[in-house]
Amino acid sequence: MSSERNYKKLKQWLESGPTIQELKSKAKDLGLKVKRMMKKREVIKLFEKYLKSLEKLEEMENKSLNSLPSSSSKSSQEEQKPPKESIPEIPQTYEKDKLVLMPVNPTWLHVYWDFSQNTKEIIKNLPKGTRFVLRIYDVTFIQFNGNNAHRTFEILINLEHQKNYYFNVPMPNADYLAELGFVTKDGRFMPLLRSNVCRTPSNSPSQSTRERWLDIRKKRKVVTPSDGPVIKEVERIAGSVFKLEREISKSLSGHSLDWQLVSFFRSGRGI
Amino acid sequence: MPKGNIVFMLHAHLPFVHHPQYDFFLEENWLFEAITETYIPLLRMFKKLEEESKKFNLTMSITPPLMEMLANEDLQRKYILRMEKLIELAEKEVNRTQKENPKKHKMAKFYLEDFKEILYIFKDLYSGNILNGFKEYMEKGYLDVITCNATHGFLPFMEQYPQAIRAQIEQGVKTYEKYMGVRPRGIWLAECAYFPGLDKYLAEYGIEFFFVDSHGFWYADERPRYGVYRPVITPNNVFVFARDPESSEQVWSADIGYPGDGRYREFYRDIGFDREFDYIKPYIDPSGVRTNTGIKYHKITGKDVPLNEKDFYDIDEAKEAAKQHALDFLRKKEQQSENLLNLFEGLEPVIVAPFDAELFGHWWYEGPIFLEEFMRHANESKVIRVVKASDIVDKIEKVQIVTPAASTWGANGYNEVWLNGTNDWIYPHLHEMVEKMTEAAKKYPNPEETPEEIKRALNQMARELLLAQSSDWAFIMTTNTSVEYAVNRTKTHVKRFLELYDMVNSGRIDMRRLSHYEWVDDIFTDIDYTMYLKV
Repeated sequence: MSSERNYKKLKQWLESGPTIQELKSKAKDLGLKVKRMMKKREVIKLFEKYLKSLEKLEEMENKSLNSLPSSSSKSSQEEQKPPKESIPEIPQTYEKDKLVLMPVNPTWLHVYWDFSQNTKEIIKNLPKGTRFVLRIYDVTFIQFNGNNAHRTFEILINLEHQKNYYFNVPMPNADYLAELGFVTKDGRFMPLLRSNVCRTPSNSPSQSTRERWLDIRKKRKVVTPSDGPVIKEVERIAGSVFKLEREISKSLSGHSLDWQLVSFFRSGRGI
Repeated sequence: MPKGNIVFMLHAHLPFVHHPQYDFFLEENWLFEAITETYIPLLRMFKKLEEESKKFNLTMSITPPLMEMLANEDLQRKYILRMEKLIELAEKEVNRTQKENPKKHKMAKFYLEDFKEILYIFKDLYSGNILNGFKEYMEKGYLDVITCNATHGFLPFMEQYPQAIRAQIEQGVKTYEKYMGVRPRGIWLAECAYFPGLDKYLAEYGIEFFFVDSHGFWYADERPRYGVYRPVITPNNVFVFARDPESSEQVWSADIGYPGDGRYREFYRDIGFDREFDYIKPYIDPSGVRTNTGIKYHKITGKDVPLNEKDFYDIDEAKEAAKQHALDFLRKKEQQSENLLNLFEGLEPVIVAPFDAELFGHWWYEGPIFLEEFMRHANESKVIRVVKASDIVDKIEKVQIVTPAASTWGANGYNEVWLNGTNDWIYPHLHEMVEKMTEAAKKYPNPEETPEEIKRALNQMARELLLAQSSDWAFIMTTNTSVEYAVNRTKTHVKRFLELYDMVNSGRIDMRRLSHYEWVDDIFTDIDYTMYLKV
């Protein structure tokens, strides 16, 4: 929902003369500081203040929208555009329960989460000071049942300020699964969300001692013991992602350049 | 006599950038520069070698968005206008440099002739659509054009959504077929990004081969006996080629690579920035933002020479350098092949050298000359032969069965270029869009029975989703150049998608808005939203 649409809707609703009860309950929904003793007039004032702030926001958005295609000149076809497309403001939440694990590299995973209204309610109603934690389970070759992981790791999460997280895992080529939950008063972990299973990429040669071959003409498969590769690879050692920025500024040295970066980031591991 | 096989793999790709509502749009220059400096020089090279009866072979992915842009008449028209302006500027430069410096004057005359020829090739030879040129050389057997997944989406981040992967591949196959007239045999996976299991989807669409980076083989489930120097086949019967780390480094290394030679053209000295504003104004972005024109008079000179102290460039000297480098590269490939032939006891090695196509010509101006000289002289080699990837697939008799490891060709070899603090915010949206797309498609499983307006909205949703998925946006956010554009594009596609989703859900289609989106995001006219039913 764009703020523009919210704004109009709210204004119309306010003009339609809602009751004091309706006003108060809507104010609560919007997170306005409505007090029990407030009179109707006072609640309306709250709404008016809120609408003003929305208006300002919209103005700002439109400004930045107009400054966006600074790189382009308007054409005669401009008039064909529908009246203003507000700047791409996109939702902060999709109100769905989601915990998604993504592989970054052999030892780092990324996780992001989102909550349904229901879960948000549950979280809101937990006692103040409840600790939220992210659990990461090593479930390589396991049908996870909640307590059979090879290893379990825990990280404290601040739900107010975080929507995603990066964390370091010990094993490349391993399956990980995460749960986000809270710790009860008596110290038990209560999961709220469970993630997909995510495999970290491998970063070392296989220990397998066999080779499988396909004879294409005869359409026959042959399995033989492996003597190891005929040619030994010279592996690269990955640097740290945190250096990326320094590398960029080094290679940029003040120019607007894209192609050198392409070669740095794309064509070249470590080149 | 067994020989070493060299597979040159050029990955030609640009994200879909088309803004029909503007006469000029800065980012559309990406395409125009690549046409002038890479794509047409490649076609010119093909023609030259063909006329000399020199055999040459290249494998080349032309990605679906690039095909769509090259075939787009509005972009073709804009390109012609741009070239006409550029030729006008080059004419002025010929006059102006006469009094300035003989070396500059020589180059000005060169550019004038060069631009005229390029425009002739574009407009007259190929009637505005240079795809026909690539098709022509493919049909003649020189070129192996392969496809790429639809919008260069980063497939490992779609692993939990098979329908999203299928849609990327299906549209990639379809677009290729539309322009090349046949089904693609091979695919270049966006960012060379593979994860175990992806081959299953490729097999579903009849793809015969793809490429991975070296460590995709090194860390595979079973060790390939011949390392990266022979293709393998996955359990799903798709051939895989791996990148030779030596070739990439020899060409591209910042320290020892060829493009850093002092005789080559300096990328950063362009008259778009060097000439006085009033003079250059009609030839840069109309907003007054200075841009590259393509007319450059300076050479790299030396690595540590500051930009304002660069010497003048000489095209003949640079051509000579490119030839020397091509011969040097050829010698290195011969030596490498001899070593491998010894190690492999006569079994022919396959050395795969993949590159971003645009680096040849655009970034390394003399790159196409280097390629041409390499192909010309490789003809006479007794140790190597240059082949297409599909030639190897056609010939191979025995192949090891291996599942490559998850890998990409990004910095450090994995996913961090496309997933880090600068761009991680896009994935919750991209994932949610796939879910909403699928949900909406499920409501209308039979396109024949779907009301026309709804069908159009669903198809446009699929376009917005695919466009949002381009790995280029995440890449640009990481590289920290043109970030605003990449962020804006991502958000725009998300927003348009969600609006269309609301329309489909409510059954009330705002036709004005829908038509507008169809006009401004005009990729894949043949799209079929039901691909998202293939879960």
